[in-house]
Amino acid sequence: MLTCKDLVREIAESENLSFFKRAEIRTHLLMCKHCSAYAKHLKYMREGFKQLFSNITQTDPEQIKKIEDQVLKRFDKTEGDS
Amino acid sequence: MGAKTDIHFNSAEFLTQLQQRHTNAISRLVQSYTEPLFKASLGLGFDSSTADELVQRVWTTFFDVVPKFEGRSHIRTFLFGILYNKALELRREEKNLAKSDPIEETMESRFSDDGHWSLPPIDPEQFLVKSQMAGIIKECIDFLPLTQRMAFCLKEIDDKGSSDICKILEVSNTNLGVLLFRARNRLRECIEKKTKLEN
Repeated sequence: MLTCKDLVREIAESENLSFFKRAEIRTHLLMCKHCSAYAKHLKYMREGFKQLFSNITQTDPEQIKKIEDQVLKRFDKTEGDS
Repeated sequence: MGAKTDIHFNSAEFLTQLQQRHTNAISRLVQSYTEPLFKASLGLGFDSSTADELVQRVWTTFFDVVPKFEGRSHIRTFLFGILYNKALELRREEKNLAKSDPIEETMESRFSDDGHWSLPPIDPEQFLVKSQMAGIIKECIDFLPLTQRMAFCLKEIDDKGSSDICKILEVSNTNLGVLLFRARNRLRECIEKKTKLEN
């Protein structure tokens, strides 16, 4: 039987869970208020982080272009040297 | 960067051009991956000018090593691996997985001996008020060590498969699990603390 502590470890690591393991987790979550709260926290974090990420990574195409140009200029220079 | 470009970048022909440092191949690559690399740097918490510097360093390193690139992993995975290493260099952080992390103790103390919650998580309704979500997460994520933060970012944003993330961070699958466990729980504990303060 999966304890709450085991479940938290499983879902926070979330690496390659088998079908059986996922079913076991789902059953536990249906019965356990605390673990289901925990699982929701992780879900809200994921959603919030996606929102944050799109907020902080808004970039100006011109700025990107400038970096690309600098990079390529540097590349051309090293080509010239070799 | 769509799936089509990805497939193309993996072709043997393109690889040969890259190894020979054809200007054409190089500039197509630079134009495809500068933006994703820059965005990832911002996502890791670097400010705009540091992110710029970081991306420049990634490409400089790439140009040095590209003649030896054999295409064993996807070029994108390879580039993000360089980004990770350059970011560590900038932060001067220990790259190896630290043996202990205070979050492990915190997590121990949340459970009783029989594995049940002794300090249960708070009501999800109170956990994150939608309007303040991004702000609170921003404050909390800045406390994460770079490796944990990168593992978390790659997992949640890029939909990269775990094996790709392992290659980028040069860790085993088990260690990636540990990184994600620590990152998510550190974040969760921090958010819970801040939410309690505000209510």
